[in-house]
Amino acid sequence: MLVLAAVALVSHVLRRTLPPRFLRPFRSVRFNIWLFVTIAVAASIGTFFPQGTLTPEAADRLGPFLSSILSKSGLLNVYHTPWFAALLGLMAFDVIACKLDKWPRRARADARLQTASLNLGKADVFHGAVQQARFSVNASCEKVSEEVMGWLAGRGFRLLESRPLTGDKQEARLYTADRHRLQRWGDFILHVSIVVVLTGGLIGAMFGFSDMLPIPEKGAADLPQRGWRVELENFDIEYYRNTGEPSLYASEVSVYDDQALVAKQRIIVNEPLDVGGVRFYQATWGMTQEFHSAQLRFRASSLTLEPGRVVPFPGTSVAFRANVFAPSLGVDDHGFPVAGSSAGGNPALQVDVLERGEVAGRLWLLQHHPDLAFRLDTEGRLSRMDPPPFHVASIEPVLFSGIQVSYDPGASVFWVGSVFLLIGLALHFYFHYRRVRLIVTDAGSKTEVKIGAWSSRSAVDFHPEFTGWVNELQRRFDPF
Amino acid sequence: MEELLFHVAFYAYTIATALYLGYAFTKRESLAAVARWALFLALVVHVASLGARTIEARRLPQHGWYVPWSNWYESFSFFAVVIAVEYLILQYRRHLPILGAFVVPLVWASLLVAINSPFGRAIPNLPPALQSYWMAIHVPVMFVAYGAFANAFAIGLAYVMQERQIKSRKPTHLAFRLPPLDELDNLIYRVIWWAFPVLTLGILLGARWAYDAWGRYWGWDAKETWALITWLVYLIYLHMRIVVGWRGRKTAYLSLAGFAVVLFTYIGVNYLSELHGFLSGGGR
Repeated sequence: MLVLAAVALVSHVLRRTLPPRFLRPFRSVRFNIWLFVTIAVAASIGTFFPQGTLTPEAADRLGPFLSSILSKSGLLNVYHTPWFAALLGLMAFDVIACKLDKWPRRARADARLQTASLNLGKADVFHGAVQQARFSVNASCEKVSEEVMGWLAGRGFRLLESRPLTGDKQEARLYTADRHRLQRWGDFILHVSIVVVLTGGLIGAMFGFSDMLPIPEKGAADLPQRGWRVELENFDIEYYRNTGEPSLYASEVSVYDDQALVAKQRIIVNEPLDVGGVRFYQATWGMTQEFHSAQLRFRASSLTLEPGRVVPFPGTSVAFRANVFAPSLGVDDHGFPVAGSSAGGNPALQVDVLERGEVAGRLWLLQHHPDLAFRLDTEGRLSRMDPPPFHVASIEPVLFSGIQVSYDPGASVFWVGSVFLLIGLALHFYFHYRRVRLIVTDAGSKTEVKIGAWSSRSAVDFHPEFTGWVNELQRRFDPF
Repeated sequence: MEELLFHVAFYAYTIATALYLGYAFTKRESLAAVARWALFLALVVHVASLGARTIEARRLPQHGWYVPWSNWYESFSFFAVVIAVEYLILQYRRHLPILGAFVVPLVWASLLVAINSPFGRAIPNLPPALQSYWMAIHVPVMFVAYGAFANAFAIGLAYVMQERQIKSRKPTHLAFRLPPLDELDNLIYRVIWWAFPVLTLGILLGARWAYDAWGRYWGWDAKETWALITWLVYLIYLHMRIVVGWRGRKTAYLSLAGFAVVLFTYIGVNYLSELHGFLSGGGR
């Protein structure tokens, strides 16, 4: 209600303060169309350029000049640039200037037309009617009037007026009725709703926040916007059988406000936790660069390694120590290992081989490629080596849960606007306003009926319906 | 069973397409009725194949959420169903069998794309983000709108062909089969008029799902953005038609352009979108 009142106030202020010639361009359909085209083109640009900061690889590829142009022009952040926001704001202003100014006058004109007595001659009674017809029946004027009223009621029309026609030599009666009057508000409602929807977006952009909290298992993260602490009690992940594709991942989180527990819930994808309007979503998951344990497999035996712990190989002077885990080991252009994304596409373990307590070699072993092994040289570069007589059979990584946190005070405004947008569209598009006016005139031995109708339907589509009405009326008096 | 039914449906659609094209370019009136029955039969078998696939999938463990429009193959198959159903409704109301020669090839083409899916036809493992009742609501509503725009596109093609037939010195049987230009123009308008609120509903349902799944109702993801662009294109069509008074060729071409945008939103965006794209695995 507050937003609607604000919109009405803005409209009123516009009409009173801005000169009409300033508002005239905004009321032009040509301007509207070009505005829609501009918004469409601007929005499409953002889909062809990666949005957000350029990755170092992409920046290298484009070169410093192009990277600078793309960054400064806003093409890498189209939807959050002032000019894009201005386009959306212009759309809202355009709707207000175009529609809301007209509607109070139009509504008043409609009310006058519906209720005021017409002091017109019969010829003007059907002014603007898109369909007209006349026929005569062998029945009294009273009988015909009665049937007309019955037909109007049966067709669901709401009678607006029923009175004798003034200034007529013959006895004549005028009936005016309409149906689906609410349809006439559909256009207004849907246009106002667009402004409400955009307002909801603006409120969210100005006063809302969004954050991603990657929380490792049994770990915690702070939400600085609220001063809360979010603890991950448990993280579950299930996979589709015989695949590595996750079928479910869920987090048991506890939210603390100054050490007081405010919420505790298991959240899964599509089922967020709501704490006073702040919503916690199970957005993603991944592997950290830590691990619980790993299995080294030899020809006839295996060893379990834990982070940093030296594990001797029985019966030898050799020992092993697992140091670092990389979810997706890669190599940069200079030969140095990089940990890669958290998705775990190429999990690898850095293992020290110790001989009598001294590091004899530092290796990287790939879990999914047991036939590959890499040695780390003294400078830290990787070089391929002949595969050793052992490989990493399994690694149990420490997972993290990606909890998306968002607060959008404009969301409720957006939803209200959306509901009314749909109502307005349904009224405007799926209902058709119809108004019918009939004059029943006593013509001696016969009674003459003149019928005229108006509709929001196009003339082409309304004609068969109107013809049906006339036939129905005629059949009431002459069934054959 | 599902695969057998699908192949039977495809052959029936092929026959229906041939019959409608035969009707368009010959004098044989009886072909229209036979084509309609072939299309109806194809549709029944096709829907049965989707039902069989659903039953089969839901028997699999961890597939309780399954709906038969979850990957490339299934979505194009479902799209074909929607276009066909909407055409049959249009045919029932308007009695213009000649339009089948323009619509049914679209149905057949959609199935062809499904059959040649680059990702195979196996029942997919849905990522967690797609395991939601919204999958059964938002996606079909969008397809209903897209299917209507596909029908409008086909009628637009019919308009363009009829116009050329009229202007040519040697009109074929097609010119006499097709209705007058203003009737085609009005039909395009009526279809888009009906579909526009459905498209709006579909977009808003998607926003509601995104609010529950991704933490925001609108994130300018490529799929969302191009759905909005589709909405703007048809908004332009309606404004030009209703307010400016455009008729005929201009609006026919606009309906063709609108469907091109629909196709880009449906197919092209999968190469751009991280969240919606079939290629990116969608929704992780």
